[in-house]
Amino acid sequence: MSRLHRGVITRQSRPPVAAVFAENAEIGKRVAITARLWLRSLMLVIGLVGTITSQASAQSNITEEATAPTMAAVAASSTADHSKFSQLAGPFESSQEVNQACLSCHNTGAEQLHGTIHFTWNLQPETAAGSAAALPLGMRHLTNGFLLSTPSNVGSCTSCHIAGTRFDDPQMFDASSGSAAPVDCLSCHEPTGQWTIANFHEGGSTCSMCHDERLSGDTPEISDLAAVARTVGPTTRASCGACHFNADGGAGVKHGDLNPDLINPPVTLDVHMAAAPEGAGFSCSTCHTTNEHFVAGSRYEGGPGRSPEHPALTGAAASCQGCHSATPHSKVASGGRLDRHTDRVACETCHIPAIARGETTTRVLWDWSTVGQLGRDRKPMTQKDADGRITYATEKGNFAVAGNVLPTLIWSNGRLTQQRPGSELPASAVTDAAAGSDLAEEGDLAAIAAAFAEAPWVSSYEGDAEDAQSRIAPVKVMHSVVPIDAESHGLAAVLFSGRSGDALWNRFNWENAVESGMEAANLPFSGDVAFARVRQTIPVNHMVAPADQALGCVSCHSSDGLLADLPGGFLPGRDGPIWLDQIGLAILALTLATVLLHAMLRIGFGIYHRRARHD
Amino acid sequence: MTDTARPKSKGIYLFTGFERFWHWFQAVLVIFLLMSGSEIHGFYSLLGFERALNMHVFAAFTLLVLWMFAIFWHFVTGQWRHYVPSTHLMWATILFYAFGIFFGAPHPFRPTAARKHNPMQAMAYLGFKVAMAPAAWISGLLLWGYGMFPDLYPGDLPILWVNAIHIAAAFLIAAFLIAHLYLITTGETVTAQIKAMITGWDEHGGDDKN
Repeated sequence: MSRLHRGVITRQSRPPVAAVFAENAEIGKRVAITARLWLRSLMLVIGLVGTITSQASAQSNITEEATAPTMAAVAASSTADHSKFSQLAGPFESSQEVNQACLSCHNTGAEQLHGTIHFTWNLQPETAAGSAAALPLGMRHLTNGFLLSTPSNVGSCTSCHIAGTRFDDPQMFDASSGSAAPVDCLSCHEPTGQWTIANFHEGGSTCSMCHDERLSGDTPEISDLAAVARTVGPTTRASCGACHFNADGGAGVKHGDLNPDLINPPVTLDVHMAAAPEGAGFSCSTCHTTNEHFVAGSRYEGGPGRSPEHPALTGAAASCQGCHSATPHSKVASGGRLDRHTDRVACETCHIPAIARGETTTRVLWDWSTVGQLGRDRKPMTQKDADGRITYATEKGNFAVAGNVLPTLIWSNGRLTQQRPGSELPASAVTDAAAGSDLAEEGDLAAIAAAFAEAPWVSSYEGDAEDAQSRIAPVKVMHSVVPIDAESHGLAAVLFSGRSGDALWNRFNWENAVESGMEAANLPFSGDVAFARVRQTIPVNHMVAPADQALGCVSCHSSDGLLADLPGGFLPGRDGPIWLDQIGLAILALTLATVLLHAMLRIGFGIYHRRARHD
Repeated sequence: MTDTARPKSKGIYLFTGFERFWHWFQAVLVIFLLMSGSEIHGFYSLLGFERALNMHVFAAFTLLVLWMFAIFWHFVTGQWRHYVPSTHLMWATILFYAFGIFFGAPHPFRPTAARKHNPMQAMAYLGFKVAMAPAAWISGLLLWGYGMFPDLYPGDLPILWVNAIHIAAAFLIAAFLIAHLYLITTGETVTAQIKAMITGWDEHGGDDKN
């Protein structure tokens, strides 16, 4: 049995905090009931407050009724039945004909979409007056630890673009250029998501982008476009998930909290997405409210503390507080105490105790430096561990996955510091090639984190305990070994695929692939490639667990808890005024020493005099 | 330090039933509060933070009620007069504990119904009653209200200082407890004083003329 397997099983078999509470619940229950009665009568006696509902019961009894609306309250109701529209009767030769039919009624649709980040993959952050304009954010500009960056791979990456067709010309992202790409209504509004999946397969996207091994078998196909066109409706979990559940290379690879398990999840996996009545039966757009095709809740905007004044129900931003308010624990025992946390702790910290809790794992390590090892047949190959998980692929190098991952807790104000192709890393990040291959085979998340403890961040949230806007928030930390320019230590853009022999996945020559990539990104390149260890924080906002699985007090309020290593703040159970403890303990020690000395003298003199103190 | 023969006498009745109930109930609660408080503070882990906190709060309110009864009792019965500080025999008492006790000197003070405590004792108990205990319960109530009734908490009051005062009071009370536990063995015999607090009768007490 591989260590990967053992590591994952260990994490899965670790009892959730709630279970630990549950064990004690039986003992606690009797105490709790008595204690509750006592406490209530005590309160009355001292005349403090007659309405105190404090009880000594643990958080295990939490059954908070969601104050958020159920699906029934927010379900879209429409007076239009698209299955009966003559415009959609077909037949259609291509999706472009379908789109023309859509836009013949929805005549501002293309214009609206052209301005959204879903189309432009570009976001110009707001800058304070007088300061230099910030560099643009968005997928077109940034780099990450997965499929690196888009500028050199527009042709491959755009297989997921809402144009519904691949394109190579970056001008096509820009609606003002005159050569903007079209919009494909079906990409988001075909409710099963199968159109999107079939479309980018048929469109000839690069297999290796998503598939770690070469699969045989048919690609999904859609034969009757008219039938598909007549099913259109609001976005669904499946249609959004066709891209977002498979971000950066397959199911759950990038996001531990967003994967295909959410298409029909049990309530234990996600209370919002599980079907009613156990869950709330939400779709993505219930929270990610949409106005003129602008979808709220991008990770580029808004931090964990930003949104109380932007309630989601009025159509502004996806946030927990939008529906639940900033003080949501009023129905819970000791709720006031819990509400006291919301100015410093993001909701997700306690309510998403682990990510990738379903069947789908998430990638935690990706070592690009080992790309290009061929099999005995001189063809690309894969290596697997005993459980069948792929630990190496010729096109992608070594990687490791994990399930039931405990998020890393950081201070975050929601602002991302992002690197982009060309961003120079410190020399200390440079690493030997194949640095991650042993780690990938062992698959031990703790060992991976330790090996990357000093690695710089290609993407990280800003924030610290001193900043009032920062909250303690959970992130997934991704560990990657990525190509850089050996001289400048700048992050490399890489041409992955295409007809050119320079493409990495054609001849596995890093120098040529980076040369072409840097050229596409308009960046200088020395001609030599090196590799660097980097890390990345990935936000964790989904897979909200039922309240009884939320973290309990002891998870953090102890010296070896989840926040043991997080600097800053004052955390009872972990911190104390050290000087006060020192003085206090000194007083206790002095008192004890004095009485012991006094006692010894009494005994000693008693023996010496061989008589009792008094006659 | 063995008990020696003396005329059999029940002595004087110093501690009434309520006083003894108050004393021992308070002892149990204070010890529990110190233990659970240490856990909340992070010195060790036994009950778990949340349970320790809930039980700490529960014990604290119980103690507050007990103190309300005790304060009532002090004033109604006039027992508060025992805690009025006095310098009478102060030096003699200090010298006894510093030297005389080792050489078999008699205690300079004999408890009577009119004055139960020696001057050092009275001073220490007064310190506990008017300084340590109020510091603990006032800061404790504020800490409790901070979590339970955020709207009523005065925003200008730095909670970390309230917390520091609570911890400081706890350390002083713990030191008081250590000293107290030792000093009760310094009576006429090792167990004389604890017997008095259990039965109410001080075998070595004097009449009021002392």
